[in-house]
Amino acid sequence: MAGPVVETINVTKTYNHGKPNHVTALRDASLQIDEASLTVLKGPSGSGKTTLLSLIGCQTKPTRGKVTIMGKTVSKLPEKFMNLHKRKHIGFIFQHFQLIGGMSVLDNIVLPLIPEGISPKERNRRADRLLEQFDLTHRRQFKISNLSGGEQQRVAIARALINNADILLADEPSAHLDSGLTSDLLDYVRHLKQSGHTILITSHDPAVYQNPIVDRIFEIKDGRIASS
Amino acid sequence: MTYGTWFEKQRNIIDYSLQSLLRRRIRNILIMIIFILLVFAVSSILFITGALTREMMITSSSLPDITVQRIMGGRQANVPASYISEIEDIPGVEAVETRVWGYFYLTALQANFTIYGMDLNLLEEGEYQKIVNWKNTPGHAEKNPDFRMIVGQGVSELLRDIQMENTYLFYQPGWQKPIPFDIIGTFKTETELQSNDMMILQTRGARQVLELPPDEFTDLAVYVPNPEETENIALKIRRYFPELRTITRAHIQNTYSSVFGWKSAFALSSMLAAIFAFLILIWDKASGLSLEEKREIGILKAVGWDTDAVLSVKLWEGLIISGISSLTGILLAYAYTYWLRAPGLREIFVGWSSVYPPFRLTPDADPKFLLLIITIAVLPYLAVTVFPAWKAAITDPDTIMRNI
Amino acid sequence: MILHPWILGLIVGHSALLLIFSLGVINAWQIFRGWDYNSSEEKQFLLEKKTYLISTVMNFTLFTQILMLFLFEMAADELANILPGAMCAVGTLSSNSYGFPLLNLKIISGFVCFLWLMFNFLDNQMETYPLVQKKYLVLMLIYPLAVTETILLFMFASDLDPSVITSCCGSVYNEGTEGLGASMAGASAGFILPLFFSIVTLLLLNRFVPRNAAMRQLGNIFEVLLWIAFFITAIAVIISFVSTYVYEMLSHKCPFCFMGAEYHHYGVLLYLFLFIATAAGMTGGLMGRVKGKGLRVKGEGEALAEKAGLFQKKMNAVSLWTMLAFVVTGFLPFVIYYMKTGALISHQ
Repeated sequence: MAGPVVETINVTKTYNHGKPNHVTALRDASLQIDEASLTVLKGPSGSGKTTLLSLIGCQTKPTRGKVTIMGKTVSKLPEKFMNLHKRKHIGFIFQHFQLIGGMSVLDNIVLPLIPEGISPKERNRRADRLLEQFDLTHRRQFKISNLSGGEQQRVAIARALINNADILLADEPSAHLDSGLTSDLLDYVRHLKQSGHTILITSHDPAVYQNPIVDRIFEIKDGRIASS
Repeated sequence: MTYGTWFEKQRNIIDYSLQSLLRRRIRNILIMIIFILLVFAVSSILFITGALTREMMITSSSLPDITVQRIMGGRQANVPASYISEIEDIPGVEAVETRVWGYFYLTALQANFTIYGMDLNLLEEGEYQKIVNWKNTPGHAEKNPDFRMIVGQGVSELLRDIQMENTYLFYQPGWQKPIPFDIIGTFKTETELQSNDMMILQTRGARQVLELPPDEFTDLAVYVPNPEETENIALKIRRYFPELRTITRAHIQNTYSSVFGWKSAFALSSMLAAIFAFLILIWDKASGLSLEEKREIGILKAVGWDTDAVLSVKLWEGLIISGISSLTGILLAYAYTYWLRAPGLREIFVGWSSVYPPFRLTPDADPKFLLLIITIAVLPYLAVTVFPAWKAAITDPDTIMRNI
Repeated sequence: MILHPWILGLIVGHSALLLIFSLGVINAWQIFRGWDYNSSEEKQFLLEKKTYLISTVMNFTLFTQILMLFLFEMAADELANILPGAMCAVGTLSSNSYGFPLLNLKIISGFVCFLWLMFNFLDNQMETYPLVQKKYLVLMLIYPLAVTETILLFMFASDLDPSVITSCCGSVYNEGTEGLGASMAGASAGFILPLFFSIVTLLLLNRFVPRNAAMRQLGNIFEVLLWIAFFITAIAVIISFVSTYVYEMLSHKCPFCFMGAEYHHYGVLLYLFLFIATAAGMTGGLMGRVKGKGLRVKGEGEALAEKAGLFQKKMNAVSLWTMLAFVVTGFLPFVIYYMKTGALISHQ
């Protein structure tokens, strides 16, 4: 599409407004991200990069400022419409995976599809395709709590892809992986980029942000975007 | 992406809700047990109130429009025959009938029973013949026509226990000798509430047992064909004869209804303490909303679930638990009230005498009761479980994830 | 005052509702005052979050308010068993001077709440919250209604006295006595029926006669007024005409008795059609007005007009069919009676 796929304009986010533990996580952050690119948000923990990712991922609304995804200003949309847009275009991979422990791998992967009214048959069909891609078919009915860290990572990625999103956001994806798995991950990311996905990653791992497939790096410090 | 219809969406959500409940099996089963007990208690109270009111209405429909009694020294006294013609003369009064009846303490059974005097010959012919199980002993009518009686089911059974099912000896201390009565039949009744402890004696014999002088009656039954005039006529009777007391049928029905209603509300109010305790317990469990549950809601929202969808899950969870518990509680209450005849509760609502013959309560599924029970049971439970979930559901997923 | 489960339930329910309503109104005022959609400032974001919450809460509250109307009728029916002289809900309602005014207020309030719910529903379908300020203004105007209702309920409940005899429908709906019920009963069918059908004709004309935009806006207002007239005359028709043929008696004109089991709950169906027709009809008129106004605003106004238009079509269909159903159901007892006896019931 013409124009940036993701754009933030002077976005500010404060938590616990007015309370003693008031904190401004992000201040006047503006950036633009182009289609089919791989961008990394780099910075130490607590710098605000996760907050920025959350804002772009429609997990929260800014305290001030504007967020635009695929040309639509999501920060002003009522929740219903924002979620619609989010489900259609965005897949989010959390730092701590955020999978539901008591549920099976299959059920976790198809979770985003349930409120859409998609039939179990169709859901499972899509899930099985992803299970195969990520070599998880043998773990289909296993409870999450019985999986290794690497396997859980793959389930989290599969869940983010189940709705055929254009934009993928990943928060510290290599945090729980050894170097071998990290390079597997980056391989897969390259593959996704080539198929047209736009990818945004937060990371302070040099193995990630120094990789040649990265198109752009934004450095975040103390809640501000320092350089790009 | 193929999107499903609203029905498919709901079906998915219900599926998920069931799954979610099963994931916390033990806690939910415990809640259901308490819930069922509470619904059971409330429903039983409502059922018995309804059944007794129905019984009472059936019973009282055959009462006279106005019952006239004489009060002397604050207590009921016999009514001399002289009043009859004066009351009959009041415009609007169709007829005045005399009644002979009273309570008698049967020492052998150690209980009070109602004795009613009437001409049993009237029962032996005509339509009333059908309501009695006549004893086929020959020569009954001839032997002692003034000392025959017909008794209710409860009395008959009690007499059978002491082997006095054919003849009973009435006796009061102070009498020279007991008065024997032949039992010539028992009542088959549709409403035991009325006839169970009743004994109908031939009038002459009854008068003797009740020590009623020949020209006096226990009370009078006044029949007024136009219901609008009943209150007026009752007022007139009281004005003309201040020593007479009038009781209208409507008044009796209202009183019983009020008492049942009052007792019902009272019982329910005392249950309120238990209900509140239950709700507080649930609130306590839910408003913390276990960390696990909060996290789950956060995840659902994070992967794109609408707040509506998340709340639907919580709503369905609540509906399933409260729905199943309510139905079970109601069914158990139904069995308890109508099958087992509400042991324990029955005494509270009916008895002034703890030795009260058994009777049957007629079942009836009035939808209004069910609606009331559901309102009392399901709605508060939903309010208490959905509201805390709502607080979590409207939070940004980002905020939830950060705090966990 | 009577200690009775139904009374307790009603009082508790209304008090809770009023409490929630009050909280809602406080927030509605804040939103109404400070709303500025185009701002990306903090205050606006907070208000946007609030409106989502308040709209949901008020949906629940107003919906329950409507339910309370039916609960009230059921309670009145039940209480008739305790009040001397009362044989149906009418007896309970006429036992003190608050009964009928409360019922009338509840009916009005029910319709108003329904209209707001529809208005809110429309607003929530739009991405840009076009009707926000208007809808909260209206909400604040509805609030006094709810307060009055609750006060009346308290007074009604505390005045209930099981030792005082009350009239039954025979005297309330009797031409001889005084009062609105009596005059409705006394109105002859010969007068009411033509009036009723003229209103129906006007409604149909208003619906189907094509005209220009300005006239159409007028027509929408007219539509709402017509439906109100429809409702009132329908009640008069029920009392003066339909009841006669349901009970097959000239003297029994009670509009409540035929909701009971002895009459196969005929009245429930009849009133269902009437209420739905009126509610849907008024909503249609309201939506038409929104559509008309929306068309004058470019861009988002057109989107709103489109949605409002769709809604209007649906509501119009519903109101038309239920109105028809009402007329058919209302005339059924008359037709049955005529076929059975070949004669009319009239003053001899």
